[in-house]
Amino acid sequence: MKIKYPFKYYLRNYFIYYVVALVATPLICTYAVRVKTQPKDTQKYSIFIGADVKDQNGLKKYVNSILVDDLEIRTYHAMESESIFGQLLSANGRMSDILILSKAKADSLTVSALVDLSNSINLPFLDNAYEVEGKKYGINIKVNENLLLNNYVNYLDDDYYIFINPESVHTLDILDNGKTNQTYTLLKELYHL
Amino acid sequence: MNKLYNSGDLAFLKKKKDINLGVSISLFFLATISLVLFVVFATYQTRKPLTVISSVVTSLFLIIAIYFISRFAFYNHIYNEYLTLMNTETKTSYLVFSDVSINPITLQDKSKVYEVRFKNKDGNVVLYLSYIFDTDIFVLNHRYKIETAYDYIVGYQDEN
Repeated sequence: MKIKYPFKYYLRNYFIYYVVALVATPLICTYAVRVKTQPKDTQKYSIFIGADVKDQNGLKKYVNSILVDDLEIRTYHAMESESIFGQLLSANGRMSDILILSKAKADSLTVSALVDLSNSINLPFLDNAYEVEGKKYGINIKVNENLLLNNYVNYLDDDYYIFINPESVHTLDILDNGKTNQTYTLLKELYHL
Repeated sequence: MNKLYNSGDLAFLKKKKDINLGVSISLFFLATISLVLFVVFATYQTRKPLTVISSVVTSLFLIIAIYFISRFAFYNHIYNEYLTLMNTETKTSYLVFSDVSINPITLQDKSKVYEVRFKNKDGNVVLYLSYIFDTDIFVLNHRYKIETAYDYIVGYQDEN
């Protein structure tokens, strides 16, 4: 019996499967590895800053030194003058736990998307808070004073505020629905409470 | 009578198809294991190199598995053709071959066969021969006893 596997003929027939294997495998691997290694919301802490950051690694180390050790710190920054700032803010700022923005930029935001801190009894440093209709949304950063954060950030003007994302899981001790109190711990350290 | 379709070849084809199926299943299994292992390792190592390595290794296993699956499909097709033609009642004809033309053609089910056209005293006859057999088995103007199942030549004997 003369029999030979006709590779070329079957390659044509199975070509789509070879292509799918080549394309789908990297996608599946990347997705699977990402799912496995993706830190949970409680294992990461994100900060979005609407100013220039002088030393991003230094800032991460500083924040890490205040918060629990195994927390993955992520910082995003963009100059508010940049044309793509709005896109960066909605992409990165929306998932960040706290946002540091100028008053001018905050004026252009929908404040209902931020946490109203008026009733938070644990935050005594709301003197110059960012207010809209009597509600306090942002904690003033004393740019000219010795706030340790100032060592890492170049602010563009004097009026900057720390806003808290209502979706954050780190709002315990500030709101009722948080899972950890990392934001409160960070604010306490920044304001020397 | 030379039997083109016989139990010895059938056993050989069965062995071939079983081996190819076994190898392809093993490779699919290895691809799954490699993906799972690399995802587990990724928990302890840096993410990017492991993503690349797991993609390459898994992809390699999958592509080789697809190659063996296609081999299995080929041998399985031939095996089934064998089985059908072996188990079908055959018809015997006596033919004197003249003006024979043997052309490879592809049937509707994408299988390839030789179309054997020849003339004898009864007129034009068209029979088929599986392309895994040699085509030079017939000699012009010789008288043959031909066994057919459907239109396939499954056995022949040179009466000269």
